[in-house]
Amino acid sequence: MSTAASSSTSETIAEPGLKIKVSTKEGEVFELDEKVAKMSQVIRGILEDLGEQNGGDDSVLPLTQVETRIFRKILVWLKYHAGHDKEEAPKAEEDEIIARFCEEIPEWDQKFLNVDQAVILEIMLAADYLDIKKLRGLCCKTVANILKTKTVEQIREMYGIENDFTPEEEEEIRKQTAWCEDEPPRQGSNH
Amino acid sequence: MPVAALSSVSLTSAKRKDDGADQSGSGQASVKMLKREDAPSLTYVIHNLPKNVKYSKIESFLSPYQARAIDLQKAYGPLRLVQVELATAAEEAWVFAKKDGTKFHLINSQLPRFVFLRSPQQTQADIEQLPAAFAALPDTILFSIFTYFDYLSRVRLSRVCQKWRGELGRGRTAAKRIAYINYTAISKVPTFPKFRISSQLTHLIIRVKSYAAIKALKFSISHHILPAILDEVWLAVKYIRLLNCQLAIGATVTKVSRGGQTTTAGLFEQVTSRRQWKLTIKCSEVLLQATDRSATWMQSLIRYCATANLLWPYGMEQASWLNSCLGQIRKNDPEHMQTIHNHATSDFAGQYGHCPYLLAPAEHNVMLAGRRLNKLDLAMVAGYVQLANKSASVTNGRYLDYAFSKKLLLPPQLMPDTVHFDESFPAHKALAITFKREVNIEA
Repeated sequence: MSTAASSSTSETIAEPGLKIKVSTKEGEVFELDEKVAKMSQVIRGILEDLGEQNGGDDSVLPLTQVETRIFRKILVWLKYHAGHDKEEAPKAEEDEIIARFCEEIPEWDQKFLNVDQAVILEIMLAADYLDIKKLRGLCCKTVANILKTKTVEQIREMYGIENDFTPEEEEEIRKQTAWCEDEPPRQGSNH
Repeated sequence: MPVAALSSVSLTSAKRKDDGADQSGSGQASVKMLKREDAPSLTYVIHNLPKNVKYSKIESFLSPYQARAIDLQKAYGPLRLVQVELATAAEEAWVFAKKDGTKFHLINSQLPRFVFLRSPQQTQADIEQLPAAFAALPDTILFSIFTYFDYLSRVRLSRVCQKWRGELGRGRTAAKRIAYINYTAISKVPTFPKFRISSQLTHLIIRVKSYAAIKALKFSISHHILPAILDEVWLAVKYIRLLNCQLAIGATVTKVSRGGQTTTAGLFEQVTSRRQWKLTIKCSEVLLQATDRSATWMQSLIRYCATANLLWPYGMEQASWLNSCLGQIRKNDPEHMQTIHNHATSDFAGQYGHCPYLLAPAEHNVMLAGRRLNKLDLAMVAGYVQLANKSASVTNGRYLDYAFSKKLLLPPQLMPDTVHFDESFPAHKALAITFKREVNIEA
């Protein structure tokens, strides 16, 4: 049964330049271009800690919390963004917040994350583990967008969250938040 | 359910089939456009394929472990992939159907190590495990998701559970700041001509249901941002017709002395029509302090004051303000003064004659109006007022007399201790006797 992992222990991704080897939870080894690998702050940190030692040897960085199937997906994302993203200066906090609210998710990323919610969650966890902020943010935003379209009851039902408010508390909260239950504004109406 | 048969399927063959798929292509044009990398999940592929596509058509886009499904097809004959029913943290469930309609649920668990079939009931049990994936998220990630909520969503979803409420509630300060940043950022974009507000702002406010804008507004005021912003936010809020937000803006405006005039005047219309009297007064105070006072709105304000039934609890405050208002008009807009004065006093007194003490500060105006308009009722009220204020004069005696003759009597508590009496008006004495009050009559 476990022949898959053992039979495909090394999947080579042909990239020029320095290669970084990482292994997933299942032991599958991936060889990444340095630029791609360093998009993960965790890998970057490890590489920096290792210094010159990491070049040329066969050491493999173990990513014990990332499953192969999720890593494959993340790899797709990393490779795409390594090739398409421009070098960005670190944003000021305010700019980051503005971007958080005002910028839409790019089309490619939308397609990339057009998967089942559980997979998104897994990618998000893996991105968190690997410290890939942009991917983590994209996943968070995607999940947030999903949650925003749901009612409180739907969210409780979907995610099995227990309603631990007392009826009195719930009623009180409902009153407090009644104002935000307005109907969506009608587009194009005159005032 | 022949689990054993399926699990004994050769992985090698499935892998080979998958590896060869890139060269083989597919019969579907839409499929051909996809590469494996662009098809991160089977779900994605399915959603981008025409309905009823044969499973064999998409096999080339499956990852190695997914390719095992092909072996399922080998075992059970031609199958059609109906849907991907669920995906948990570790599993995807695909539903295949045979030609006769028989459905098969295929679970890939701990892929790519094994594949096995389960009954639909078992699959349902797996579906129920889905929430666990979300519930098991670390707080840091869960709270990161929350940071992408707009203010409205934060408030709304704080009802989910105590944990969510605690976090979403704590984030309000941050939300306020975010709203402010948002606002200042988008207020720079060109104006949307139809509504005289920026399209970006409209978009934002629609998206965040205005409350963020309100927060932004408050923040901007505290940071001495120009009143023009108030106007723009006001228009946007008015455009989307959110009364709560309008009132919130109003409450904010009243705290500053230099609120935008469009905002304040517009707010005034709103609050007066909804009889938000306290807000009306405060709003008016702001307008009074504005440099460009409009007699038109002030007139309408006074008329409102005169006709609204909400005057009672705020009577003295309002009356005081009314005098101030009239004084301002007198100074700044004498042409309108007379009209305003007439309307105000007549309406005012006519409406509130039954509670004359409310009119105390304005009694002189009331009386004047009554005389001018030859309305004895008004004048009588004015007389009552003066009487109540212990300043009844002889000249008002005739009105009191009139009132007495009409059996329109003062409430006992309003009877003065001392009445300046004119013998020509015996009603004074009669009034006092009626209410069994001692009256010092001064000849």
